[in-house]
Amino acid sequence: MSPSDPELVRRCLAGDERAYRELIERYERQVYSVAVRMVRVAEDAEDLTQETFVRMFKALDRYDPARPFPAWLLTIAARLSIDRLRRRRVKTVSLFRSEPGSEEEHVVEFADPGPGPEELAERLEEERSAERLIGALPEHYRIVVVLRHQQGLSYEEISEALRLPLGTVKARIHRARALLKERLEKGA
Amino acid sequence: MTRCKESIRLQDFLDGQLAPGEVVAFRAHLAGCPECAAELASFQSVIATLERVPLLVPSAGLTGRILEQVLPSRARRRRFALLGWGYAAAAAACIGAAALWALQPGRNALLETLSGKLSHRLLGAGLFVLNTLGASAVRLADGWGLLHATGEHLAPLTRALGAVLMEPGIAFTVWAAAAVCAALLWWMRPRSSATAREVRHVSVLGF
Repeated sequence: MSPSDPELVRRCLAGDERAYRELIERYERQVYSVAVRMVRVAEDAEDLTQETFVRMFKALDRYDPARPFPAWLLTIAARLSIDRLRRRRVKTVSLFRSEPGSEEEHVVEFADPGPGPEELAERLEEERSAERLIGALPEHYRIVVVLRHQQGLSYEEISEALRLPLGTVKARIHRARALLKERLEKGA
Repeated sequence: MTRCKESIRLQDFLDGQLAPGEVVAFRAHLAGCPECAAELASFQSVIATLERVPLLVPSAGLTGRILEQVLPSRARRRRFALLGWGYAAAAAACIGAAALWALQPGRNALLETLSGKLSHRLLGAGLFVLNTLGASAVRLADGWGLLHATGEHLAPLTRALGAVLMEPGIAFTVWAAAAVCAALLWWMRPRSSATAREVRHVSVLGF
């Protein structure tokens, strides 16, 4: 049976280097997935993953075992990803736009050189399309959707990770899902 | 088309955020409202799509690169390598500065004076030590008085060394070396953190 997260943390603090490896191998895909879906460049996402683990191990003696370890680790990953985006200001093309001074967002129409609506509807069933849908969300919606629906964090954990009021997190998730529904319906 | 007023509860219903009584009421509403039922199905489809997206796999070397950064043994190795480079750089800088200083015009006379004085004192000190050793050996042969003789003979040696150490350049170098050694020993002191206490195989030198 594989050791629990708190057990691995305890062994890391005791200097057991095998526990370091086990902890990294257990969570590097989750951290990398959050990073790559936020910064959208594989190399940058690997840098972020590395930085996340370095910071996590530095702060390991402050980890509270009463708290779920993945939520704590993904908090670091999410904050670093947001910082990186703020610093770099990635040029992303969002499918959703809002008018200046308005909070309402609508789907932006692009000239589509690709397949027709029927074929698009088929593709929307595939993972790649879902990936594109997520990638097309504005950053502040993308991070909450990734943490909620791909990493399984609760509203409270997301609120703590992103230092946002619970109501804001809830509103962003609702709005993001509504945007995605709109997009899926248009695609269909 | 006007949306059903109850549709604002859809996402809370999906997230299990409604109170038990509200859940029962909303289920009853869904049974009689095809619009909300269809919207619920759409949201369920969105969530299913989002949750189908798999985790991504980073490149094979990432684990190794992270371990290189975080393992305590490798961190120590990096610190020692850094320290070694620091020493080498400091030594090179000192030698370079000394060479530059010595190559300046007019330094030769001063160097010659200093080296002559130093050689003279070192020679004197060496002879004195030999003399002391010889005299002490004779005293030892006498059986008593060795300590007295040593003390008597060490007094001029102390004075000779003191004179050498009074040279500003030498005194500065000795104090600087002592300060660096003290700082190094302080840095290498045993840490009191929980991690350091529990890692038993690590000695003061990190081996």
